[in-house]
Amino acid sequence: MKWGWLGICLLVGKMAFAAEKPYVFETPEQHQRYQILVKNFRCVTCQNQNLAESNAPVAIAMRDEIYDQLSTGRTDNEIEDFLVARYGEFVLYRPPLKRHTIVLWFAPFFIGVCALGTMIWTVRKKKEQ
Amino acid sequence: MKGIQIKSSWIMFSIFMGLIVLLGVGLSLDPRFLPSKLIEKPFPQFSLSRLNHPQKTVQQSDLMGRPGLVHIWATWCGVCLSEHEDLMQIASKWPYPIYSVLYQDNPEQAAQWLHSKGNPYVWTAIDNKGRLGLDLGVYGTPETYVLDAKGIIRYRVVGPLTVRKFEREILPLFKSFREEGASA
Repeated sequence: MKWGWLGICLLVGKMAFAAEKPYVFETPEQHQRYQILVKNFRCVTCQNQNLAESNAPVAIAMRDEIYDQLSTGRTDNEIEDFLVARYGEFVLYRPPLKRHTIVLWFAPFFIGVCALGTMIWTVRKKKEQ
Repeated sequence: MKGIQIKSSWIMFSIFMGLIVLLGVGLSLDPRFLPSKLIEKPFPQFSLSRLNHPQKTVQQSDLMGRPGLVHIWATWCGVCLSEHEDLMQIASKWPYPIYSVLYQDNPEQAAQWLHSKGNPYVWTAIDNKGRLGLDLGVYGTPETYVLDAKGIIRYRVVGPLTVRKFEREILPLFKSFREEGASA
């Protein structure tokens, strides 16, 4: 299954932007919201891409759903809740900053500081000798 | 001075070993795997046309009454086609109904394919736009949902369903449902 999906993601998904379906928006504001929303959700099949980039079937279905919900007046939060309820927080392309993601956000910075500290400490010790 | 140096080497070593262990665990996990958000929840509501019976529809209530499997597949999904043999075997060997959902596919093509390769499914719902798939949290066909008699999703298998996998992972579940029913 892994190789099958790799094939699909490489062949179908590798475009800078997915084929634009001719969605008709009532207001330019809705269109803008749509463009932002599809960049904020992850394609759960081709998991390194967001919904704007991927052409995997799930991405197509999600884009349709986002369009429909926007058109019926749902808020961005409601749309996000809808997708997270079905796929989990992994579907958010940018992980939210919450208690359980603090490690995810700050670990690289923290490790960098430790590495720098160790370097300085080692160099200082060498100088003393 | 020497004592302090030995101590710090040991600290470095243990940190290093700790990272090796984490790396080992991490490499054994599948980063693409998504746990289902619908475990212990009812199968989503739906009303879709039936393959080969365009006048008829199937809905969530048709899944209730007996424990069974709902299989999500498509003819454009190579792995779905290669696992078909196993599904035929599971359907003939075990008494549990297998329903299927045709996911964003060409119904005529699917009907022809089932006609030539055999049809293990009680019915096949046509999910043209993938909306049922969305409600289920489908992310990588083939997928198989294990339902109890009340239509509650109890387990999900992502990837090909082999006879072996069915017997090792799903059969024990079905047996435990029977025990649940007996004690209720």
